[in-house]
Amino acid sequence: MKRRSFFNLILGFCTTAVSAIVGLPVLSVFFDPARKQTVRRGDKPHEFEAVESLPIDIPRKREIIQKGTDAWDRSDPKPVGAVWLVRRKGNTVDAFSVACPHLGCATGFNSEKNVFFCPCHDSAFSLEDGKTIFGPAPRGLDPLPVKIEEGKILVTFKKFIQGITSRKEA
Amino acid sequence: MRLRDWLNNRTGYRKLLDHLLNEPVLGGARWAYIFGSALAILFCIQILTGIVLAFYYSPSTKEAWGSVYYLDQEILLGWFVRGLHHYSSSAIILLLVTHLFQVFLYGAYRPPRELTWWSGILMLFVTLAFSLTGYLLPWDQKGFWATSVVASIAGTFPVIGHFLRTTLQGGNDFGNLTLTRFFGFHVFLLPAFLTSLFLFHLFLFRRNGVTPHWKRDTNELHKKTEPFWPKQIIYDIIFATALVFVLSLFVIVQHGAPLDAPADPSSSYLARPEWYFRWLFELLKIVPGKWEGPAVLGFCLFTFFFLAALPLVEKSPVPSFKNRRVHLVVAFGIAGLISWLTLSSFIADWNDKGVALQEKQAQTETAKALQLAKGGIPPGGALDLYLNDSYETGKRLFMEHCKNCHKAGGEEEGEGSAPDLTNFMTHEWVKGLIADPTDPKYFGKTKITGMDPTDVPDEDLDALTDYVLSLGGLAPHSKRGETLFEDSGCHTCHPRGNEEASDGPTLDQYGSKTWMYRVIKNPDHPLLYGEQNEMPAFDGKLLDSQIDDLINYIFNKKSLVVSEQL
Repeated sequence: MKRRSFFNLILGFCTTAVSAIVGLPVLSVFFDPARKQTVRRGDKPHEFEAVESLPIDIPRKREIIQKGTDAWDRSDPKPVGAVWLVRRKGNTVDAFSVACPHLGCATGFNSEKNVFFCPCHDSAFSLEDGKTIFGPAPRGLDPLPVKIEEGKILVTFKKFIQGITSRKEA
Repeated sequence: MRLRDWLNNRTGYRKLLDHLLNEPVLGGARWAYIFGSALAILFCIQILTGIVLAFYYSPSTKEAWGSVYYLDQEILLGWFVRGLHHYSSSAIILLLVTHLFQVFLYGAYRPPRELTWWSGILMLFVTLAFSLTGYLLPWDQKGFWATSVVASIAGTFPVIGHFLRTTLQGGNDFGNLTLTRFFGFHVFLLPAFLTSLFLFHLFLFRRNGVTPHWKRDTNELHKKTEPFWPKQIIYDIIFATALVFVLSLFVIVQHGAPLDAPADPSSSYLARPEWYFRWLFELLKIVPGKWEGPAVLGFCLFTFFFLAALPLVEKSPVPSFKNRRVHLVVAFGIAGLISWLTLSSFIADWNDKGVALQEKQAQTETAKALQLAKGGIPPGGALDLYLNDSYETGKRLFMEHCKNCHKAGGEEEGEGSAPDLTNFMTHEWVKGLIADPTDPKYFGKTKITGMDPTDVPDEDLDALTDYVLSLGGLAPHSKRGETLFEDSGCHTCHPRGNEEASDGPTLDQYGSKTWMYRVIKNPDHPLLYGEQNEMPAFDGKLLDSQIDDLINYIFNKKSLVVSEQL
């Protein structure tokens, strides 16, 4: 072997070894959270008021206050999101996540046109079933599981990935 | 090739590379010159690991410990990266001192290299500042106490002491501002400072070149001069690689950097600085009270001025040892003193049993904190881990209400008149009770009488024990035990279900939580110890949750994690 290429070999080995020993763990630490549930909320249903106290077909916005963990922290109950509650005829209730499925802005309700709308990019959603009726939103408002027990509304809160047509939990 | 040409035409990188690689090394490559470049590589490692650590670290007294805990325990290889960062700092100090001595012995501080020398000395002090500020950041016991001591030392400096201390710690006491400040120093100010100094140092080194040994003849030096690449680079990189290997092995063996229990200003933690500040620590032990500040400051200033003045004072024609006797004596005097102080500090600790005991306690605390942290850091911060711990609360309650009569295996509990609850409701404990309830360990010192020792063979005793434990769900059912129980007539005194009150205490759900509730709340109930009972009833005095905590303590459920349901 020539002297030069021998030196090149040593140089190559050493730089690779040092880069691997230091670089791989550093990359691991950098990328690890990407595959983790760093923020966790409980999946216990959230209890709201009695069905009777809601008006029919007029949405009401309600805060979700929950305990959770955020990386190393365990938190006391605090607001983690909001939902639309709509009472229907026959005392059923629909619940939608307030987050716009387009890019996650908080949706509002336009009582003149009777639609949910997003102030960010003008998406509009039907009051009846939450489907997109106007704008860039790739899917309708995300419905949340509702149960009614002893007249009270129970909603299981979830967050979904925005900007895609399918409904995937974040 | 065409891509490289394209790049070269726009950046001129070949010229730069050529300049870097073919820099002549006067007198040829030498192993003596390897320390500087190794330091540069370790410094790069510190930058790299430091940056990803900053992606996790949260500089507040409530959050800091938890964030470091999270990186260590939850992030893949987080412990390794933090360990590398931690132990590299020690390696850097070691190398810096070696580098300093190599340069000093070769006389490389002499003209025209004064500025290289001075910038190097400054870098030594900046590195010490790095170590000091970094040590506090995890906000654990070790960092907190060691750094408090350093802040106090700074406070004893004449004239500027108070100002220096309050400026460094950001106010009158250690707190959030101390952490944000130390974080700012460690992550922004010091790196900027050190990087500038390093570039200046490197630039000057490149300009003035290496300093060969003074004995070597000028002609020989010129004849042997060779470019930086390949030999010197190969020497440098082999050393640096070996260093990184050893360092990472060390990190693996040590399982990363230590993280003590969260900083607790009320605790009696044994404050010990990192090893490279031990000499300072020892110096304080030797120097009498009011001279501490001046002595430390004086010694540091003397060392600093000696090093700084060296190129101006030492003007011998050739830097041979013979020509530099005084300087060598002073230098080795300082080094010897520092080594001696460091060594005697460690030896004193090794010979001190109290130190070993305190270290053991600290380890127990640490293990407990790490265990509790698995349930998440409470909103009040890492110190609240203990407050929210059922076992710890139970222990406090036990100390308050029970320890005058009962023992439960803890250290500070006295000899009492009531049953010893150490290993409570284990097979061994119940077996002992059945064998002889009049033993002083059980009811011997109480007024509770009525049951004689059970005189049966050992295996029958085991079966009876199993059966009794099965009543409270603490052991699987034992048919043989049940038969023995009835044959021996135990049931004539001890009810086992919803039977009428009898002479002896009920064994219905014996040892279970329900049974414990009954005993703690109303021990004088006719179904329990009735009129013979002397234990106070805690019904209405303790909350159910407190009784739960107490039970956890008595049953020694140390590993109980506060896993609150979300």
